[in-house]
Amino acid sequence: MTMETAAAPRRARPFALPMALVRPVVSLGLLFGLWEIAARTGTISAFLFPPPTAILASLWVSAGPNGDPPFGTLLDIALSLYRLLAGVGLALVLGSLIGLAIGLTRWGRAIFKPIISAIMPIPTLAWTPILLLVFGIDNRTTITVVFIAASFEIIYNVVTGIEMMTRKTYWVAASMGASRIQTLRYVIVPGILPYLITGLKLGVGYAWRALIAAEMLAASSHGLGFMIYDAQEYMDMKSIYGGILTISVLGLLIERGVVGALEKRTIEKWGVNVER
Amino acid sequence: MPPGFRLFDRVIVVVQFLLPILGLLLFWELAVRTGLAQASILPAPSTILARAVELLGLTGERAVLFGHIGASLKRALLAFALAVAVGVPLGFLLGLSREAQLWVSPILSLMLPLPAVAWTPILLVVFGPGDLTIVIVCFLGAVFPVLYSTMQGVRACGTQPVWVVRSMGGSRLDVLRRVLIPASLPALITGFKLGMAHSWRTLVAAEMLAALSSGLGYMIFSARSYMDVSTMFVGVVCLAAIGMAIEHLLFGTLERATIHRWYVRDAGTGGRQ
Amino acid sequence: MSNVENILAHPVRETVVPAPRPKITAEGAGVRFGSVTAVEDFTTTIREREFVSIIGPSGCGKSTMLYAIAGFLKTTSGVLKVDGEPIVKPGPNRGIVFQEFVLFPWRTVLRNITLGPEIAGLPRAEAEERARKWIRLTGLGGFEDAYPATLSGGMKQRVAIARALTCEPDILLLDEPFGALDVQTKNYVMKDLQDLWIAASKTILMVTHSVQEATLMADRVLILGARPSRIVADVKIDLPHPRDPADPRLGQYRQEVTAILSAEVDRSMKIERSR
Repeated sequence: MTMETAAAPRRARPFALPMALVRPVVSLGLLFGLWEIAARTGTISAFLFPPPTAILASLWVSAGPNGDPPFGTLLDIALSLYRLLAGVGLALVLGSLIGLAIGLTRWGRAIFKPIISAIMPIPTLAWTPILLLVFGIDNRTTITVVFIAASFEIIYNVVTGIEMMTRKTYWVAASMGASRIQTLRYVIVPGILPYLITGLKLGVGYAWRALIAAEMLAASSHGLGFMIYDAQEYMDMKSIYGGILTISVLGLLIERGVVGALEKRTIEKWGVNVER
Repeated sequence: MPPGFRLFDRVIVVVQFLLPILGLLLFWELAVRTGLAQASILPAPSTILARAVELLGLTGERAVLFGHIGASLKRALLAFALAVAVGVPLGFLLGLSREAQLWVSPILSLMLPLPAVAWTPILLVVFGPGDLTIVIVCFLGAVFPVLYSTMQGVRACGTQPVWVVRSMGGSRLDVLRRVLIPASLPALITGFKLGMAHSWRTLVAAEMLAALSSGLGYMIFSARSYMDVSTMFVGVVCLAAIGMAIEHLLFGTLERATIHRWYVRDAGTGGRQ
Repeated sequence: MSNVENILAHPVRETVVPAPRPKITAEGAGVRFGSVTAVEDFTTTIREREFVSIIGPSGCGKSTMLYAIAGFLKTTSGVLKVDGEPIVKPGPNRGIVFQEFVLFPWRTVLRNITLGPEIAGLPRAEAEERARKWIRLTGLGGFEDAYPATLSGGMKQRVAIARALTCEPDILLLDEPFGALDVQTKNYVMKDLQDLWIAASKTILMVTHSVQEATLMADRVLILGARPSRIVADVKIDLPHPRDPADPRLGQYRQEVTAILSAEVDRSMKIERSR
């Protein structure tokens, strides 16, 4: 006799949607509004904390044709995004391959696992000065930092994905007469995809932060990180704040917008729960 | 199995682990010796080791390395302590009040994609280079993991354990002391571990940008201007080794004393499912 | 205390006559969450040392009522009283045992059980003295220093029961206490609980969805209907304790309760479909 008949109570929450929009507007509006007033009235130093409207205005100018150089901010954004994309792309390819080697083969596990655990404790940014010596002030320096920052999460998640697959999954494929290649293609790759996406999400987050810091360290090469560090030399506070705001908003967009959308279309649709 | 064999097994495991690393180092050494790699950019492991011995003062020179390590540790630990002092109470507040968390989270999610190092330019203008700027940057790196872990730990506690204590006539203080704090302790330790790791990892970059005369990051960055690559590698190895030591010795011990004792061999809720 | 042991050693084969004094009284009590009514018009009187079971289809709000009596939730209508006093908050006179045990993993078995006396401000020695008695009666002897994570489901539930009883409550509230146990374990814990109840003379209110559990243990079975949830039947199980599961009279009671319950389930499915 089952009694799982009565439906769970449906809750009517008429204010749910508006509140989700109201809260960020109010809390961020309050923060920036108070800042604006305090800076305008001289309660806080308008040099060290320029009013948000002035920051936005300066950002608008430097992103436009009258900037120095013209469209400078847009150029910085484009360069930063290019480095992020190149480094993460590289990490995705090499990271997945190393992850597969560790997860599926004995020799892969024996060789890569110790080496990775020896390299992982090195702070990503500590590589920057060494890479600067090797590559010089070059895109390759920052791209390599991005690659290092993103690949550990990708490798780790791919390996976890393989370990989560039970032996019975392989048995099902084997009983259908699948070859090794077919098993890889129809069972393993789709099976690790949710984990790969999770790894990508975390990896991109780390990579973005590492990239900005690396651009600051590997100076005179453009990019958002370089921009805020360079502005410091001229004590151009508005540009620093404008750059920080751009970094934060872009980071949010990449993590929530791009990778989040990918996650929604795959992991959430399949209802897979990636333990992390 | 007799204990002698068990020891033998463990030795085998360690050797198996070290073999690929030693192989890589050997390959590196040979590549430099045969001229395959340029020694001025990639010095041989033996050269780096010799440099480390010098920096440690074993050859009679001044032991500069200890000074740099001490300065770095002091900054990272101070920043970590500040992060705990700020992150834990704030995490409890936001974990206990859903409403407070919803209002504050837009600000937090705007802060989160920023690397702590991005604040360095502003701090350099305000405070100039030096310990204060470095400690604040490391604090900003450490505080968010501490805050988030605390928040999650408190939230994960659930209502039923609170009810149990309330039904025994426990006060709000009892609930905090006997349920919320111990229940969130595993998450707290995770947060501390992450926070310290972030503090340590942020430190290098902060020291490269803002240190005046000491610290491992400073040592690495200043060695770069003399093309003293061996010193740079010594610095990198020190950073990794100390980071690992903190994680395993300090927090590993803490975890074994708490979480591992409480949660090992848990059969879940057991039974029917 | 020795008296308790005595009774346990030689189970008394007689009906426990309910004392006339009402322990829990509910008059038209109801709980609403926003626009959803979980329970309404809940009216009953539970007397001292009575064992009452609440049964009903899942989602009918039976646990809601238990939580209201425990003081975790507030009633939105009607009156709910314990010992003639309106319930305003949880208190040590009402012990609770959850389906999920809700033990504290950072405390050993003994320290889980001494939690109540500790909160009441008793010295450690006295708290342990009290706990020892219930540890013995629930068969947990020898496990005092074990952490909950190392125990089986049945043992965990014993700890939860001992923990509730160590607070010396008048009323024991059981929220699907056997729901997370396998059948064999369940039978053991059920039998022990019956013995404990006879020995300790508590008022017990148990929520369950199992007709077998309800009829075997309770003096009265309150059957809750599907939404709108209210008491649709109050079946008195007029058999002496402890009961034999194979007793044919028990089978008749089981059939009676099952019949009312399935009619209720059918009705709720019709409502569900017509929506």
